[in-house]
Amino acid sequence: MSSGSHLSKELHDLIKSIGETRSKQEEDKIIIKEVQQLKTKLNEKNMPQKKVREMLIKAIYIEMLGHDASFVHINAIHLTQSKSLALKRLGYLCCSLFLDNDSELLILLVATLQKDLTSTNVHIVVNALTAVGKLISKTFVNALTEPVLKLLTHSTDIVRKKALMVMQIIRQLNQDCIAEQDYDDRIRRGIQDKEPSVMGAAFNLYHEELKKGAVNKFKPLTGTFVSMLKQIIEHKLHKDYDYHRFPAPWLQIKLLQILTLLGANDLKVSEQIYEVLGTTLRRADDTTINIGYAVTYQCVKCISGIYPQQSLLEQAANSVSRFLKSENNNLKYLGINALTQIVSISQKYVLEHQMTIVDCLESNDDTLKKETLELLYKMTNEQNCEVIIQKLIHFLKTSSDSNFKKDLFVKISLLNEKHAPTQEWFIKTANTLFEYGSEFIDNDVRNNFFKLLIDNFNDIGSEFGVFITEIYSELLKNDLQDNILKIVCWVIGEIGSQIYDQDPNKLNELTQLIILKLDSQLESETTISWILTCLAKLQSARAFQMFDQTRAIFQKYMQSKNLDCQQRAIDFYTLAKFNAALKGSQFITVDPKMQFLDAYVQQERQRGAQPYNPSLQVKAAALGSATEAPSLNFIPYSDTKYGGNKTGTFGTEENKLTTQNPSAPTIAGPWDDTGYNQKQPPPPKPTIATPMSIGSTTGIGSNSSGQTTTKTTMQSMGSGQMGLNTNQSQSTYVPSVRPLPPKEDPNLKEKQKLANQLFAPISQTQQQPSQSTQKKGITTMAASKQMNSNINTNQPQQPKQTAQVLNLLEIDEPLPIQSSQQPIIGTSQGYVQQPQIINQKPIIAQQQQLWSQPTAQIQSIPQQQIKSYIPANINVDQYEQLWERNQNIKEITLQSKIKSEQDFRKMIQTININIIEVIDQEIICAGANAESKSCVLLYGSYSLNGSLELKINSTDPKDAEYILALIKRQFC
Amino acid sequence: MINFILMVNKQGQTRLAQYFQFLSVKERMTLEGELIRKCLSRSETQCSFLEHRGYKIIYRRYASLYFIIGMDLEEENEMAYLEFIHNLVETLDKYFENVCELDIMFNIEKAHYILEEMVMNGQIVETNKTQVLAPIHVLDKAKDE
Repeated sequence: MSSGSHLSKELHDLIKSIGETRSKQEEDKIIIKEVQQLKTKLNEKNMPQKKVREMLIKAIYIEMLGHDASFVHINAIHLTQSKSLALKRLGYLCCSLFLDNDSELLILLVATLQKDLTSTNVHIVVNALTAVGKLISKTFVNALTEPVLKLLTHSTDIVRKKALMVMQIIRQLNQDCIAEQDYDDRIRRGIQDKEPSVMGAAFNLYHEELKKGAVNKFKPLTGTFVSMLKQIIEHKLHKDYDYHRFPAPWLQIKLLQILTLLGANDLKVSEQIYEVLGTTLRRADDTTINIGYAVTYQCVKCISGIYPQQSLLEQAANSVSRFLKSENNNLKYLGINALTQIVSISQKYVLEHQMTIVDCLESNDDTLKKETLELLYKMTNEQNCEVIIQKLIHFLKTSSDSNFKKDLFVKISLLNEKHAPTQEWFIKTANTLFEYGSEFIDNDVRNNFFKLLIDNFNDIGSEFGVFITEIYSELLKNDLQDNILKIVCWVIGEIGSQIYDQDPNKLNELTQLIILKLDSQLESETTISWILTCLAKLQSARAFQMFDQTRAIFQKYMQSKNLDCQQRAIDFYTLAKFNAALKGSQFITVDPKMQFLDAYVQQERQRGAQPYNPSLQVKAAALGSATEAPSLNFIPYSDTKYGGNKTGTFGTEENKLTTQNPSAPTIAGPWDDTGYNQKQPPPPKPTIATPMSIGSTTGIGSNSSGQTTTKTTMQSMGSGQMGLNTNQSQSTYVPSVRPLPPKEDPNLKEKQKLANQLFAPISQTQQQPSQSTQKKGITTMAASKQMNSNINTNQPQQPKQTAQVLNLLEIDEPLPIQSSQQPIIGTSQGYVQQPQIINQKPIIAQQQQLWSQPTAQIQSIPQQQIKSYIPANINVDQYEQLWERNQNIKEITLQSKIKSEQDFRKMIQTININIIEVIDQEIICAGANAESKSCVLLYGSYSLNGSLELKINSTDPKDAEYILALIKRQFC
Repeated sequence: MINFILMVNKQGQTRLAQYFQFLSVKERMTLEGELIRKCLSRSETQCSFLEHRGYKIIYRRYASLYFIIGMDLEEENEMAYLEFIHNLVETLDKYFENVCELDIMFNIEKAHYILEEMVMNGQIVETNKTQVLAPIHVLDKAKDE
C-alpha cells in the first residue's frame, strides 16, 4: 500500500520529496514553495472536492512541519458539509488538527455537527461523534449536549462508546450540562452494556470520577468491578480483546486502578478485592511478556494502595524482585517504582534489594537514577540518612539537568532537616547543599534555614553560636557565590556579633573579612545590602572598634545608585554616629525635681490653676493610647488580663515555655531577614500571640504589681506565688509627681521578651547602656554553665538539649519568616532615642512611680530575659528619698565570690549601675532600667568570707529579681 | 491523560502528530525537536521512559521511526502505554500490511483515523484491532463506491 498510487501525481511527488529530504532546510524549501502554490490555487472557483481533499492533506503536512496553513482552514470547514463520508471525515480531521478550541471558526461547525449527530446514517454519526470529541468547546457545549446524550442508547455499540466519551468531555467542560445523578446513571448503564468496548469506555469515566474524589458513592459498585475483572481474567471476553493472548490487558489495568481507589484505607472494600487481585497477579506473573508485566505492576500498585494484606504483600514483593533482578531497564524501572510503593507500607522489602538499588543509582540511565532517588528519599530514616544524603549530594554535584537538581535540592534539604544526626552534620550538609545548589536558594529557603539556625542557637546556646560562626567565618575566606555570601553575612552579623560581643579581636577579624567581600565580584547590588547590614550588626557589638572603617564604607554606599543599598548606608551611617556619641557621652546631672519651676507653679496656682493630679494624667494617657498607634502605648495592661487570671495555667504554660520546640507556631521570628530585632527594640508591631507570652507573664518571679513583690528571690521563684500575684495585681498605681515622657510600647517589650526567652541559655548577661540593644557578652559562655546549676528555672532546659535539637531537625513546615526590608526605619529610631534616655535619667525617680507598674504586667521570667540598666547619677539624699518612696525591697543574703570592694565594684559594673557611696563594706548604688526607666536602688554589704547581704529596692520588682539572678549566676 | 502522540523519524522529521491539548505550531515544533533529540540520545538498553517539560514521555522505536507518547506526570502505568504503542503499531500493520514509514506518509489521514479510534479525550478507548479498524474499512468502502 505504500506505493501511494491512490494519490495524484502532484501529491505523491510532494510527499515523496518530503520523505527524501535530509535536512530541515531542504524540507522548509519544499514546504514554502508548496504554500505559495496553494495560495494561488485557492482563488480557483468550483474546485472539485478531490482537489480540495489533496489541498487539505498538503495543509496537514504544512502545519505538521511547522508552517502556517491557516488560509485553508475555512476549506476544511466547508469539506465537513460534503456528502461523501470520506471527505466529511477528512474535513473533521483537518478541523481538529488545525483549529484551537477557542477558534472562532468552530462556531461554523456547530450546525453541521448537530445535523450529523442526528443523521440516520450510523457512519455519519460515528464521524460526528469523533469530531465532537475533539472540537467541542465551552462556547457551544450546550448546543451539542442533548443530541450526544440521546446517542447513549443508540443501537450501535461504537456510537454508544463514543457518546460515553463525549459525555465525559461535556461534563469536564461544563458541570451543569448534565446533572450529577443523571451522569452517574448513564455511566452505570455504560458498564452494564453488553458490549465490552462500551463497558471499557465507561471505566474511563468511573476512573476519572474516582480520581476527583467521589469514592464513597461508588463503593457499592466494588462487587461489579470485581466480577468484571474476574470475567476478564477468565477469558470470558471475545478473543479479539486479547493482546498477545493476554485477555484485555488495558481493561484489567483500568479496573485495577478503579479498585485501588475504591479500596484505599477501607478494609471492607479491600476484602472484596483481595481474592481477584491475587488471581490477577498470579496470572499476569505467569507470562513473560511486557503487557503481563504491566498488569503485574498495576497489581502491585493496587496491593500497596488498598488496605494492606500480608500474603498479597509478599506476593507483590516477589513480583517486584523479579522486576529488579531483570536485566531490562524498563522492568527495573517498574521494579524501583513498585518498591517505592511498597516501602510506604513496609521498609523490610527494601533490604533484599539494596545492591540492586545501588546498581540502579550508578546506572547510566538518567530516568532510572531519578526513580531510584525517589525511592531513596522515601526510605530515608535516621540510620541511613548520612549515606543517602551523601549519595544525593553527589548527584547534585554531577547532574546538569536543572529540573532534576531542583528536585534534588528540595529533597536533600528536607531530609537534612528531618534526619540529620548532629547539628554539625546538619550545618555542613546544608553548606554543601547551598554550594552546589546555590541557584535554588530563594527567600524561602534562606529564611527557613535562618530560622533553623536561630532556633538551634536558642536551644543550645553559645556553643552552637561559636561553632557556626567559626564555620561561616572560615567560609568567608573563600570565593563565595552571592547566595551563600548572603547567608554567611547573616550568620556573622546575627550570631557572630552576639557571640563575640566583647572580643575586639574576633570582631575585628570578622569585620575585616566582611569588608573584603565588598571588593569581591558580586553578582548583584542586593548582596551589598546584606554586607552592609552585617557590618551594622557587627558595629553594634560592645567591643567593636573599627568605626572608622565602617563609617567610610557606609559613606561610600550612601552614593549608591541602588536605593536599598543607599537607604541602608544612610541609616547605618547615622546609627554609627550615635554609637560613637554614646561611647563618649557623659552623664549630665539634671535636677530631677525641676525646682526651678517651683516659683512658676506657685505663681500659677495662686492665679487659680488646678493643682497637678497625676492619676488624671495617667487615665488620660491610658485612654489616649487605647485608640492610638501601638507605638506609644501608655496603658498598663489591665491586671486581670495578665497576671491574675493565669493562675490556673501556670504549671502548664511554664512547661510549654521550657519545652517550646522550635516549630512552635507562636514565634513571629525574633529577627527578621536583616536581623535587626535582636539588636534593638523592634519596631512596634502587633504582639505575637500566645502560649509563649502568656507563659512569660506567669513566669517565675513575675509580679503584676510593683509594690507588693515577694520578699525573697527564693520565694519568688517558687511556682506557689501566683496566688499572691493575683491579689497583688488588684493594686493601683502609685501616684506620681509629674507627667512623664511616653514609655515604650509594651508590645515591644513583649516581643523582646519573647526573643529573650528564645535566647535564654546564653542571654543571661546584662546589657550595655550605651546601646539599648540586647547583648550577649562572651561571658555568657562561661556563665551559662554556671547558671544552670544555680538557677532552677534554667534546669529544665538543660537536659532537653539533645531532644530539642532532634526536634528542631524534624521541623516539617517551617514558619515563614518576615521579609527582609522592613525594619530600617524602626532601627534608626531605636538608636536615636538613646541620647534622650541619658538626658532624662535623673527623672527616673519620678518615672518609676508612674510607669513602673504598667510595665509590670508584661514582665516575664526575669532570669530568661535580658534587661539593661543605666547608671543613675543621684546623690545620697536623693537616694534616700527614693528609697523611702519605693517599697519593693528584696532582701537576701548570699554566699558569693565577692570578698572585696573591688569584687563588689565589678559586680556593680556588670549590672551597669552607679555606686553612690561606699562606707566600709557597705555600698549603695542606683541605676535605672534602660528601657522602662524604672528605678533600681541597691544596698549591698559584703564581707571577707563571701557572705553578701543585698537589699534591692526597685520600682519594678522584676528588675530586682533580674539583678538578683544575675548576681547569683555570676558572682556566687 | 495522554497529551500527545507523535511519530518522528531518526532525522527528526515529524511523520504524524496528534495533540489532545492545543499547542501552537511553534510550540509543537520545539517540543518535537527536543523530544526526538532526547530519544536519540538514549541507548537501546536504557529504559523507554523519561520526563520532559512536565510530561511523562514513553517512546518506542520501530526501524527508523520513533513513536512517542506524552502523558501527565501522574499517569501511572508506563509499561501499559509502552505496550499500547505496540498495539497501535500492530493495528497499523494489520491495516497497511507490513507498515512502513512511507505508508504513514502516503496515508497520513488514515493513520490519524486509526489513532482517533483508539484514543479519545486523551484516554485509551479501544484496543481491539477489529473494532478499531471497522470504521476505517467503512470509509474505504464508501469511497470505493
